[in-house]
Amino acid sequence: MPSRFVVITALLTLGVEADPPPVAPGPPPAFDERLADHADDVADYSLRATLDPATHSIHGEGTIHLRNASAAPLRELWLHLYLNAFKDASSTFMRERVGGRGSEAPREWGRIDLRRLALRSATGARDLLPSVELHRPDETDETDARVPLPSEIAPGESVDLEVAFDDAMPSIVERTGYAGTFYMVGQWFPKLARLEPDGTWAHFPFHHLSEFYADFGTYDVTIDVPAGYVVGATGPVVERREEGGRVRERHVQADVHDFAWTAWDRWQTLEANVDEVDVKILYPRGFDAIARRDLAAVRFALPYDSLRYGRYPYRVLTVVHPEDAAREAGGMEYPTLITTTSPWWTPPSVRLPEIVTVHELGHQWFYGLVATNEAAWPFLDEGINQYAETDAMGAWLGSGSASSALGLSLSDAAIQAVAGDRGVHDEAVAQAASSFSSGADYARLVYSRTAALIATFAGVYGEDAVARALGDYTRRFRFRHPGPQELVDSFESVLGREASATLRGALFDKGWVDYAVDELRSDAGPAPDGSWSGSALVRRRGTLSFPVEVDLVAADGSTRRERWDGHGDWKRFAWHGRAALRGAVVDPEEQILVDQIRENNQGTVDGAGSGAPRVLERAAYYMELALQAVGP
Amino acid sequence: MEAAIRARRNARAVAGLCAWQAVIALLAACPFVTLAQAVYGRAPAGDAPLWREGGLALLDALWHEAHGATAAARTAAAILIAGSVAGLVPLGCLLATMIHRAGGSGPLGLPRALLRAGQAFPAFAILLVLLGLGQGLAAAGAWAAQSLGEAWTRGALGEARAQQFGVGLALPFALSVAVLGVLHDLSRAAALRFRLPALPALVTAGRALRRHPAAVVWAWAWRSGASLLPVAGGAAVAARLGGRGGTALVVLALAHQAAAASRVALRASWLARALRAVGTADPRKVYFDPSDR
Repeated sequence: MPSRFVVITALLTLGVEADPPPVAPGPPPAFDERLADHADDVADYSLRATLDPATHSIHGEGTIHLRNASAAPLRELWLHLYLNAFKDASSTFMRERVGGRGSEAPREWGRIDLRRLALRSATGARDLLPSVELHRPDETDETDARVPLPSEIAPGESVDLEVAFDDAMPSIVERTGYAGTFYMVGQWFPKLARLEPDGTWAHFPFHHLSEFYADFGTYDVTIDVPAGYVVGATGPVVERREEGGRVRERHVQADVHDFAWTAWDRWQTLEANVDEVDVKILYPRGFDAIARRDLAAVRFALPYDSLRYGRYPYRVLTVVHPEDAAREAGGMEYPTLITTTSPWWTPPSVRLPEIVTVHELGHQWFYGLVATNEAAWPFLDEGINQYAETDAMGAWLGSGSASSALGLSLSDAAIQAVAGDRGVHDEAVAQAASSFSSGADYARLVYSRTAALIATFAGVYGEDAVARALGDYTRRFRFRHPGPQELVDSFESVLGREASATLRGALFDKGWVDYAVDELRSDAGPAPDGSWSGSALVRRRGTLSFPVEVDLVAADGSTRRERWDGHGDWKRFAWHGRAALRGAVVDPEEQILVDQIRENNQGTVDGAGSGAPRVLERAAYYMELALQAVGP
Repeated sequence: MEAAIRARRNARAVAGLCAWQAVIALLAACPFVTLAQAVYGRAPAGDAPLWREGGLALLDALWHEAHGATAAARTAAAILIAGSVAGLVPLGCLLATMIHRAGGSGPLGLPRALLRAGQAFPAFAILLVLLGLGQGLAAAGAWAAQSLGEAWTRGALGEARAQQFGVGLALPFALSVAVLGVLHDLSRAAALRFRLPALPALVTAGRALRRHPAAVVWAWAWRSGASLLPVAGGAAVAARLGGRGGTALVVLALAHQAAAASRVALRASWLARALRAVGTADPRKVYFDPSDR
C-alpha cells in the first residue's frame, strides 16, 4: 500500500501546511450516563498460549464456558477454526481470492489442529473430538466445524468445554502470522460461533472479504513467550512473571468478543494515558516519529469518538504498528488492540498513519461495542466506521485530512466520495461480504460509499443531527448485536421518515443521484424598469432525493441562494434582478457527497465561463520544473 | 578571457533560455488546460471548484475524466521529451553567446548563435545518449545497492535502519549519477568551446574534472542545492495562496515564474563555470575561436 506514496513524497514534503486547530465535538449527550456497563456474557475463554519461535507454533489449552443465552435448547455447537483458512489452497478463503489483502498465498501455510475437545460434567469429561465435523460433504474448507452434542443444553444452562490445540502460524497473511521473530496472532483459537437468540448459530467459513461475529464474554488468556519478547494483547496485564527463560503474561478482559496478541523481541514502546485509558504504542526500531503520530491520532480520536458514540469502556488500548514488510498485519481491529500501518518515512503531509489509526480505533465502537455481524452486513462496521474516520479526521485536521501541500488540500471525505461513486451501479452496499464480486467493489461500496452517504446526510441534515442518530444507535445497541434495521430506525427517529427511506434505498437498492444545471436563460435586455429576467433549470437524476441548494449568479457577481427540496425530477428557478442572470451552481457547498457527477453542477447562460486560469498557471509551472529536471 | 565568461554578462541569452522553457512548458500544459477548460471552463467561477479545499471537485473530475487526463499526461510527456532534445539548441546558443562575449566582442546575435549550436548539436546528441546511458546504469546500481543493502541487513537492523543503510550503500552510485551529470555539462562546454566531436569533448571534460575535481563538483553542487530554494519558495507561496483567483493568482504566477527563472539563472551560472573549467584543459591551447569575433 505505501509504495503508491513514493512518487508523490518529494512533492508533498514541500510546502506542507500547518495543522488547523482541532474542532471540539461538543458535550456528550445526557443519556451517556445510561450506557450499558457490561455485556451479557455468553462465551468465556480461559486459555494458555505457549509460543515456540523455533517452529513458529503455538500450543494452546484451556476452557470455554458457554451459557445458552438463547430461547432454544442446543443440540450442536459450531466452532470457527479460522487459522485453517491458510492451511492450503483448498480453503474457502484461498479459493475466493477476489483481490485485496490476503490475495497472495502465504509463503508458509498455517493451520490449527484441535487436539482435545471435551465436555466437562460432574462425572468427568466427555470427549467430543471424534464427533467433530471439520467440513461438510463435498467441501474442503476446514474453518467452520460442527460439533454434535451428546445431550441438549437447555436455555439458561451452562457448560464447560476443555480444549487443546496446536497452531502452525503462517507467514504473515491477512492479519495473522509471523515475519521473522514478529508474531501477530489473530484467529488463533477454536472460537464459538455467535449464538443467536432463537438458538441458531451464526456460523460461516472464513471468507476472503469477511470478518467476524461472536458473542461477548470474558477472556482470561496467559501468553507464554521466550524472555526478551514484548507482548501486546487484548485487555490489561493482570499478572506477569519471568522465569526459566520465559515470560508469562496474563491478560483478562471482560465484555469483548475476540482476543488477539502480538509478540516480538524488537518492539519499542511508547505509552501515555489518554482520556483515562492506558495507551501503548508498539512499534519497530526507527519508527519513533511515526509512533508519535499514531499516539497523536489516538489523543484526538479516543475522546472524540467517546463523545460521539459513547465512552470507551476499557482501561487499555494497544496500538501495534508493524514494519512495512509485515503490513498484512497492519490495519486491523481487535477489542482493545488495533494494528496500524505506514512506512517509517511517511512524510508529514501524507496522513496515512493518522488515517489508519483513527480508522482502526473507530472499530472499537463499530464492530467492537455494537458487535454487528461483519460477515452478513459488513457496511455496519466498515462503512459506518469509515464515516467515523472521515468525520474525526475532518474535525481534527480540516480540509487537508488526507494530505495538504502546495496549496492543495485533499480531505479523507472527498476521497471516499469519489471512490464510492465508482461502484454504485455495480452492486448493493447492504449485502454479505461473501456476495461481493470483487475486493474492489467491496472496498468502494462497503467502505467508501457508506461513508459518503452518511457524510451526505450530515451535509444536508446537519452534522449534529447525524451525530445524534449515530450516537443514539451506538449507545442503545452497545453490546447488543444490532442489524441494519436498527441503524435505519435510529436515523428515522432523528432525521425523519424521508431521510430513512433515502438511506434504505441507497444501501439496499443501489440508489444514486446526480444533480445537474441544465438550461439557463436570460433576457437579451432589461425590462423598462431596469430589471432582468431569466431562469435556471436544475435536474435531479437517479433514485435518491436530497434537499439541495442552488446559487443563481448574476452578471454583476452577486449571488442569490435558493433551496430545492429535491422532490420531482426538475425545478426551474425564475430570475428577476437588477443584473442579468449569468449562471447557476447546484450544491455550491458540496454537501451532497454522493452526487454522481459534479462536473455538471454549474453552467453559464452563454457558455462563456471563467475558463481555467488556475490550471494554466499551475500546469505551466509544473511543466517548467519537469522540463528543468529532464532537459539539458 | 576565463574570468569574463559569466552568466550575468549574458542576461539576454539567459532570458532567452527562460523563454524557451516557458514556451515548451506552456505547450506541455496545453492538454491539461484544454481538458480543464472543457470540464469547468463554462462554470461561473471557472476552474475555481477544482482548487477548493478538500479537493472533492478535483478528485471527481480526475475520476470522470481519467481517460482524458491520461491522454493529456502522455501528450505532455511527449512534448517534454521532444522539448528536452530540442533544448540542446538553446543550450548551445547560451554557451556560444557566453564564449563569444567573453572574447570582448559585442553580442553574438541569434543567427550566429543558432549556427554554433547547430554545429555542436551532433556532439551534444551523442553525449546525451552516452552519458544518459551512463547515468541510467549508475541509477540502476544505486537501486540495486539500496535493495541489496536493505535485504542483507534487514534481519539484524530492522526495516528502518536497513533501508537507511541501503541508502548509504547507494550514495556512491547516486554520487556517480551527479558526477556524470557534471561531466556531461563539461563535455558540452568543451564541444562547443573547442568545436570538438563528442568523444574528444568527453576526454577534455574528463581532464578538466581531474584537474580540479573538488572545485568543479562543488561549483555544481552548491548551485544545484541553491536551485531547490526557489522551488521551496514557490511551494510556500502556493501553500499560502491556494487556489484563489484574481490578484492572488497573478502574484502566484509571478512567484512561480521568478522561481523558474532563478533556476535557469543558476544553471547558466554553472554552465559559465563549466566553460571556464574546460578552458584549463584546452586541447588546442585556444581559449576562444577567433571566427566568433
